[in-house]
Amino acid sequence: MYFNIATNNIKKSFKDYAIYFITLTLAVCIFYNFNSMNSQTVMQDMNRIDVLVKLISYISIFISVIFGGLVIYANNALLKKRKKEFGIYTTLGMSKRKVSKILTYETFIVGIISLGTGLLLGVILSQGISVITGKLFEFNMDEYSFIISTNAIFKTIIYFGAMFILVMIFNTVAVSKHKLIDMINASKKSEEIKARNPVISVIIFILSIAVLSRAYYLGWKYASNPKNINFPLSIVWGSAGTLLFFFGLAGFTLFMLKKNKQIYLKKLNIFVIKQFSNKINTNFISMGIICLMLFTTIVMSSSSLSIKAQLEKELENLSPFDANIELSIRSDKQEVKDIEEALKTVDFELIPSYEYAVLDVYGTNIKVSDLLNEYANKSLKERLKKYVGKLGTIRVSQYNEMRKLKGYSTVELKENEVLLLTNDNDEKQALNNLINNKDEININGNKYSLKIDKQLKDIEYNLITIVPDSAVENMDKSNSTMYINSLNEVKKQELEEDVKELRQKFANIDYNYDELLNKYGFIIRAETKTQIYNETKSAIGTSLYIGIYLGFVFLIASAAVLAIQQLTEASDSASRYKTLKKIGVSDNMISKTIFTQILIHFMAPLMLAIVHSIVALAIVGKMSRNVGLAFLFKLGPTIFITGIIVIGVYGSYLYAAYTGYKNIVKNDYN
Amino acid sequence: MKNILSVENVEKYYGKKEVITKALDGISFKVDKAEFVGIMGPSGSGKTTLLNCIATIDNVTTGNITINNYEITKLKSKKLDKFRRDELGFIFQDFNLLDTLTGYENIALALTIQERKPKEIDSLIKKVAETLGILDILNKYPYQMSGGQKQRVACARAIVTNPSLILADEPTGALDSKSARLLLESLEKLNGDLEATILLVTHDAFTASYTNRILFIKDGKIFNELVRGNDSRKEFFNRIIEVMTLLGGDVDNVF
Repeated sequence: MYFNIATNNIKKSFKDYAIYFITLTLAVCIFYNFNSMNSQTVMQDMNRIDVLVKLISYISIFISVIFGGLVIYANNALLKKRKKEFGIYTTLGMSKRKVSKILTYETFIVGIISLGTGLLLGVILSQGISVITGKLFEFNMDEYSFIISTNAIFKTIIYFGAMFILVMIFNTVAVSKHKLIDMINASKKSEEIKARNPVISVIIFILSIAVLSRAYYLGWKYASNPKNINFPLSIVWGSAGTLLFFFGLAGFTLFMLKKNKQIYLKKLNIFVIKQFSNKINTNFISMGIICLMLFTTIVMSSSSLSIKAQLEKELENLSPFDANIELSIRSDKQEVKDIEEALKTVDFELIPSYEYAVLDVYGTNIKVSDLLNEYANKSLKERLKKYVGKLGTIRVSQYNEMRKLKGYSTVELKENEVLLLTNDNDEKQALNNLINNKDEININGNKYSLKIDKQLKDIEYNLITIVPDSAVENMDKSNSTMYINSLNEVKKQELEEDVKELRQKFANIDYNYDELLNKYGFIIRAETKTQIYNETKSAIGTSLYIGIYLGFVFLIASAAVLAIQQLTEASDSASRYKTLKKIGVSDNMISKTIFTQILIHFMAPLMLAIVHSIVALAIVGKMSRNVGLAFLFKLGPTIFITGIIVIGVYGSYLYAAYTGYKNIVKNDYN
Repeated sequence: MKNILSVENVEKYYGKKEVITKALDGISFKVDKAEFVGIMGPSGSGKTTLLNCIATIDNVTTGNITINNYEITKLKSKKLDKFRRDELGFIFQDFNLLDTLTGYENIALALTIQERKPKEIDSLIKKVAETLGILDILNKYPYQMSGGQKQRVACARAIVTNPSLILADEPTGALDSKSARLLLESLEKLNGDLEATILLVTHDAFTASYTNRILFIKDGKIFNELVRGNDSRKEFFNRIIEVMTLLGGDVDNVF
């Protein structure tokens, strides 16, 4: 019987439940999408973009917190609306225990329905979004297929199951705590307006600024060392600071504005300020959460877009050779030290239509950090701290062979000269300083005069030394790389196949290192131009996918929740606007007031989110430099694009809320 | 005396061709400055409709209403808002205070929407609050006030803009007898000291006995008119009861 009452209640108060239901479904849908990401094939390349993975792992910490909060919030709003109904049950003689029982059934039913709908929507949406992003950014669609992640479904059910149980407990406690008289009179009292002590608000607001500064400081300071507990802790500080900020904001604003009578006593300003402060007293949690979601959106989309831009730039600098094969030499004991010999052992045939050059890199006993540290700028110094590699050298004859293959002119080098080359801008700068201060270098006991050439762009990205052939006699070879060009277009395909075969022999090198070393006696790494091109493209797609997809979903969720909040609030405020109308406020002024009210409601979380994002992006930039990622963050244009997206989506929700609100108010006074 | 309100032959019909209800059926009267006029009548007599028409909340079907030389039946909707803002003050049965604002702010709103200067606003509020004896509750929110206090704040909001005409619709309807008496005394004071012109709608003889003149309405027509003259309030009250008996309406309510 109670079950029947519960189902009927849901049908009757469908309008009230709609808000709760939409919130839940949206939450389930997003949660599923986020968690199914690992199972999407395109995501499996993600390991390459370390920073992003790290970011996501942190983000997922508060994803569940966000949704937990949202669900409880929506439930709470619903409970308040229906207090009177429960009061009537009690006056009719139903015990509170039975009322909670009905409520528990209702939560259960709505929970099941929204979980089902949310999962269904999530599965469909995840396909749709992956297809759209894939198409939009010319990502190879073969890699996508229809995926249902049972793992994610399972996880979603567990998490939300726990949330529903929490809500049920919460409801039972709430119902048993309410007095009958309060329940019956609930509709008469509009939500009680608690006038908080303004001094407390001001103190809390100032405290929140301090907490946020601490969060920013920790994030910035430990960006170079994300594993330190203080780094994730900065997120905790930031979240707490955000909540405190919104808790104190309204009171603080009110306090400040009361001091300025010119603003306070102008037109409907008093009313607008009170509308805002009245609501933020009850809404500060949701505002804080929405702020954090928007923050995530902005950071995710801007950094993913900037990674895209950076990777695409790398494609332009793609190796001019069709393929390269590298033999690494780990110790003296390795028998095969020559790349051609190694290739023979693994049956890789160098057919006549291939042109190739070999570069052998010999190690010196000079540490790169020792050589450059003195002359390095700040960011290079940070990088050198962690870099233990030694300066590599290449014989000038081999180097010229390679340049000839590329179709470039050769370089001249005297017996007592060495040429330092790099493509890295920081290192170029350091080299400049180095050559201004020193003109000699001691390599393995021999003195050479230094030369640099800033114009040369070469294979190696980082510092390499070109030395006379005689110089390497006493040095150990550290690796040997063959660069291959196919003269014949048809044979190019063959080269591709051969290299692929070679790669398969040495599959998962990092994993099976010892096994492979035992089997062949050496390790070979091979790449082709086409393959690198595809991989880079795929990395671009991956980062875009994560960033835009998540960002978009978060953005829509926050904007939707804000709009829903305003619309629920509209029916409470309608009577206030009716009063305003009666005392002679014009329609035009009422519309403006409604707009201002909604604008403040939408902008408050966005503004703080933007400040958060600026700091976070600076931190991410610092992080990526420290990790020594080849791609640095270039944020200018990407922030512009992100901004347009945010304004577009956010703006349309704002407008929708405004029109809806106006209709509710107008309907009330007609 | 200067004429403030003049209602000429006003008719108001509700419904469509077949079933027409005449809510107001050719009503005419005048109110001069500093008059305190009551409108009485049984439920359904048309008194609220009349008030709504004067308040520019409703339109008349035919006839003219002039307030302070404005022909309000001919004003456009935009001008009506401005007119209501500047020329009229309202006191409602259910107070209609904004629950989010303090007493001070509720009164201030009537002035801020007229775009008065902040300094002026502050002194005007202080002055009116003193007259009505609500200085000590100005910083309270409506939920912290009693019904009588709320209604006096609403009164202050109505009077503070110095309107040509104050319209009070059953202002004592939601008050206990003590608060009602206090409020009516306040209204009397406003009328006497500040020369406010007040039009009060009620069905309660006690409330009506505070006015100078009463118009009785029945079935949309003016049925009778009582002028207090030099009568004491008690005498006036008795005369009101007599008319009400004649009207055959709400006499039971009194006892």
